Amino acid sequence: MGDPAKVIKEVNPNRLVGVWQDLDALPKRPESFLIFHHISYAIKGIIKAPLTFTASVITGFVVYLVLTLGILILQNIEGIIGKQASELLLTIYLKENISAEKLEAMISNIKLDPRVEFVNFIDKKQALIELRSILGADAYILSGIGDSNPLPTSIEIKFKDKINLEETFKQYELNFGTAPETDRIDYSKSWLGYLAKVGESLRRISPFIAIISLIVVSFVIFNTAKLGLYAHRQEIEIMELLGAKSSFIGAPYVLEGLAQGILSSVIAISFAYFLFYYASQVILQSSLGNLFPNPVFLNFSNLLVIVSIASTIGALSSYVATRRLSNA
Amino acid sequence: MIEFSAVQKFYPPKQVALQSVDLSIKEGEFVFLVGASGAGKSTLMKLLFGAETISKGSLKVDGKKISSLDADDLALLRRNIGVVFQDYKLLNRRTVIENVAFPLELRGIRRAKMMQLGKSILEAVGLGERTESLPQTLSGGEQQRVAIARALITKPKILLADEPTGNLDPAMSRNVLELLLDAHRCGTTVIVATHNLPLIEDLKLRTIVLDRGKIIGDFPTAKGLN
Repeated sequence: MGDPAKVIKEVNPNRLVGVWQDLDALPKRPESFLIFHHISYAIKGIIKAPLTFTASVITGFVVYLVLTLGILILQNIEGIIGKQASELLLTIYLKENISAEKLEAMISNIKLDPRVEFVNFIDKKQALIELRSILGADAYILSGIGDSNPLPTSIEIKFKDKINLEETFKQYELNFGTAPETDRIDYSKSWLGYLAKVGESLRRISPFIAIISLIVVSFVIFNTAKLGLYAHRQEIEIMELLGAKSSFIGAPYVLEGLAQGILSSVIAISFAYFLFYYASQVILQSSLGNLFPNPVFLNFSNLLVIVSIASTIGALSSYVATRRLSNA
Repeated sequence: MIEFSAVQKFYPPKQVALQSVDLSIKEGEFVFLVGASGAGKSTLMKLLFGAETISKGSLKVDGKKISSLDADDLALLRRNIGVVFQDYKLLNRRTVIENVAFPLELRGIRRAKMMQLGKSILEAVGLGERTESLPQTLSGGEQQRVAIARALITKPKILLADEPTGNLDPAMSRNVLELLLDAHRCGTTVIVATHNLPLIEDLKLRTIVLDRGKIIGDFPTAKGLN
């Protein structure tokens, strides 16, 4: 405390009158500037407690990395299913005696369907060439058939992506299956059914996975925010006792939570991108490359959704944690 | 200004902190609360700014019934009450001047003016050289003076001081008391809880004596209470 005589000399009670003069006429900060005040204290808070902030960013990073990778895997599985389904062809095998006019009319009719990507007519000769090509070294077995060609003429149809293939195939089976020119219709019913089931299951499960993930993410981030704020509980209590409203107390912490959410999700997305890039290289160079011919990273709107979710959860968690601590 | 009507305060399970307190303090009065430890002085002070809630009875401060205020109204009331806490309650992450200027920050005063007033009031309590220090680097007495400066800076309608001289030497105690009297002379209602009877006995100021949660005396001066 120092020498009492010196302290007495320093103290000047009459100064109180000077301090209080014009107190009511003091220039006030415009209400709109309050946000800069909160931003400034949020930044100061981060600088003064870098370890707490870093710890919450690391927790957020881990959580959002898992979330991003989960979305990435789901999206690519859906892509693989779509790709596999779009490779499927429908083949109409025709009877021997079909006339050229009827064949022409049938192909024109199919081409008019907007769902059709391309139509390929395969005559008997072409069918035999393709069969020989498929058999390769075993093609000698076809020498037994001599000059005759038992293979039927056919029309191969490929449909555009992103249509309900199973339904479309059934419609074609119904429309062309009973036509007098048609011998039979063929497509991979079981494979298509399997792909459709997996796709449907994924679509059904995805919202639940998303909800559960959000609950888990919110829980982890909220508890991290609560732990971080717990260190400041005395500060919060003092501010309240001095007349600070909960919005004034909470705002810098909410901004800290917002910054934490944005930072941790951006780092998580960047890390996920590098993981994706290297995993894609490895997969494309391996035998799995056929199954995953075109791995896709999340598009910009998906990334924006993740960052928005992270910043909202960060801000909300800090808000709720501040409210709980200030009411404690 | 302040009206206690049959105010009781209990702490669970069975501790009685205040028993049916009736007390009226007029605007601009200077009142000492005296009594032994556990007499109820601090509890009575805490009720005044809503740090504790009353169990029974009614308490009006500045015309407002404390128990019926919502959180925001209570915050606004607290801005008109300067409090010197027994344990100082300084914000450890803020400098001395930022602590002192905090009540002005709540009122939206611009930073430059806030700092200027903060410096002036810190000089008034003899801490003009410690403005940029952090509270934990100060001695107990210095922290107490920071708390006093913070309570005084906004020219509060009511000033509550719980043992404001508890960590100060006699010379500094006298000066702090002068500062509180100065506030009183400017129109502030001042309530001081203290053990330090020798410091106040020469002053002809209202003194209320508490014992085990009851008011057992209300005197025009502390003289002779020892």
